Amino acid sequence: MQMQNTSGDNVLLDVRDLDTHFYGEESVTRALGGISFHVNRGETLGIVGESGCGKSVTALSILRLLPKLTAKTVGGEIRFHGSDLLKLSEREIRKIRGDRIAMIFQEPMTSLSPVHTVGHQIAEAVQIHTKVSRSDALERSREMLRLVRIADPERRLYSYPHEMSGGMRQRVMIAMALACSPELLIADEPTTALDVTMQAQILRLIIDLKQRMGTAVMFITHDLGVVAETCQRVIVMYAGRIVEQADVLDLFARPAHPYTQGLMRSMPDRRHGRRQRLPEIPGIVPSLREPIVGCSFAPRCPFAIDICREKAPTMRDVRPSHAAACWRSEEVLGA
Amino acid sequence: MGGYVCRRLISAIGVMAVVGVFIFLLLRLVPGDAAAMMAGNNATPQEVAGIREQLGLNEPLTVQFVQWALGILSGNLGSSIFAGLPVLTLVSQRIEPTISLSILTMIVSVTGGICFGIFAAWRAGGFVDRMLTAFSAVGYSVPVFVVGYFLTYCFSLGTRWLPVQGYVSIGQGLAPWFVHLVLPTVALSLSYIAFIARITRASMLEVLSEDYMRTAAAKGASTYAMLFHYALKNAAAPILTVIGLSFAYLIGGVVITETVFNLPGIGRLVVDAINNRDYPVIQGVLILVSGLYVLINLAVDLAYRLVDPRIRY
Repeated sequence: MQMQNTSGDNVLLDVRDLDTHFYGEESVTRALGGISFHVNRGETLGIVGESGCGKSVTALSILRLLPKLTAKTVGGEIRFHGSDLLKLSEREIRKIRGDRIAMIFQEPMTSLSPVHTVGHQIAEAVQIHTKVSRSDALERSREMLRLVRIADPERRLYSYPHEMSGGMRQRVMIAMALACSPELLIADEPTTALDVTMQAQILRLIIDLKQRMGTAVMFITHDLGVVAETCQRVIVMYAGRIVEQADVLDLFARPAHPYTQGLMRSMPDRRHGRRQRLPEIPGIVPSLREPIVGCSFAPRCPFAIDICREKAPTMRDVRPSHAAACWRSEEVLGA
Repeated sequence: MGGYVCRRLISAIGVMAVVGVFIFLLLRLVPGDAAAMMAGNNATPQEVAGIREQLGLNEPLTVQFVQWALGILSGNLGSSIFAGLPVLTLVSQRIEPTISLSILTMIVSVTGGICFGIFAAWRAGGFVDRMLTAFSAVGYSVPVFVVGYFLTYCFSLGTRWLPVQGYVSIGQGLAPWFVHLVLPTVALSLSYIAFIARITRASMLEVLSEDYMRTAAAKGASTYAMLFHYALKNAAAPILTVIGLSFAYLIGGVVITETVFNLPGIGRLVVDAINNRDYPVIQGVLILVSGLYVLINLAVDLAYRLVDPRIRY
């Protein structure tokens, strides 16, 4: 368990043993199986993993935005400024949403209301949390549009989302999220739906604004390249659990979990320029409907031995501030 | 936008012209001699001839139509055979109860229906939602006159809280006017509330699962703001359509309600005119009602643009 940082003043958000379940017709899906991590003030934390590993669920659990009827966070703690977000009343968590913790979503095309102007939607975020006049809120919207480098902000203030491109809409989402200067920005795959050139611009924008405003960023992505470019620390998730946690340089230099290793091998490498088939991780992600015995990665793992199939590994430090949930980390590191 | 309004106005005029032809032919298509039927069984041939003359039935059909159409265009809807008064005068004497009832009914139906629908969608599957299902089954299937007499029985005859029937002009005081309209309004509103609430619920349910609702929640918006500000505007187009339709159907409902509660309105005017075979009155009211219908449709089409900026004309 990585415990050395969790009680320091530097910690902004401290998540412990978060357990979120989804309820289907006949089955329960354990989307998160007790994950623990923290976000420091002003840092950029990356959360990586493939689709369905629980990255977005983690983000939505923190702000309690999961669909009420089908999902429930059944256990754990989310400490933010001394209070547990999971125990706050609906009114109290609303005061935090958008003001102190903001979020941007993967789908810029559908995440904005089609029948309200962009300026109105940004201004509303301001007006919910601060007592300002309509015109002051619009002034703030104008300022935010300028900040996210939207051309002709004066006119765009009165545009509707359908009059904008995907990249512009994502800029609007960022403007909206940062309008109240939050302490933490959760970015859930903010560039996935954009084309490659736009991706780079949006990434640079987020990092630039984060540095200017001192906001901590939780960057959720399946793209290790994005992580390498933007994050200071990384969490790797697999099947609803955290399997590795490290500083970004450390992680890329010495991955201590076979899954992380597999992810890195399956990254295209431009420097080599070889046209070869990318290696993939054999097998499929286990179903979270049935309880998993042992390590969830064991069926796909080249290092797996008997203990891996019998007993689930817990996070343990393999080096200072580098932890992995693997029985055979030492061997993995040596390989 | 301007071009669209022009096109819609022209087509509205076209529709009215076709409606006009049908209404005109109505008098000529009724089986038998309209004049003889209007004059009654004991009329002398002279009386029948007099009515024929008054209706202009001796002229060729085309001449009759042109005369009639020109009359309408110059604001002359003809005169009642029985009252001997111009149709417009009769209508203006009777319009107040009808307009009062229609406006009150629309206010109650629209606010009631939308609030009910929103609440049912917000807690889909919950108590209010199931209430709505039961309520709409009753609202749709029980006719206005049953509800009307039932309400009269309970609140007028039973408890004597409200007057049984009749109408007091708004000029004679707001309170008596209102008291006389409570039961008719409630009786007439039930089916419209059910209708509007069902569509509101369906439209809201769709919108509530959209990504932008999650964005609104992530901003920290309150439940009230999410439902009434965000979702409702996004869900508005179908709701607007049924409100327009309800308005149109209202005309039929008003006739029955006025009869049940003995309100001296347009509905009663028409019913009396039909009983008396007072064709000029029937035609005149039909023209006015059709015109209103076409205008409401036009207004609804134009209102879509206000709720959804993506609509291009």
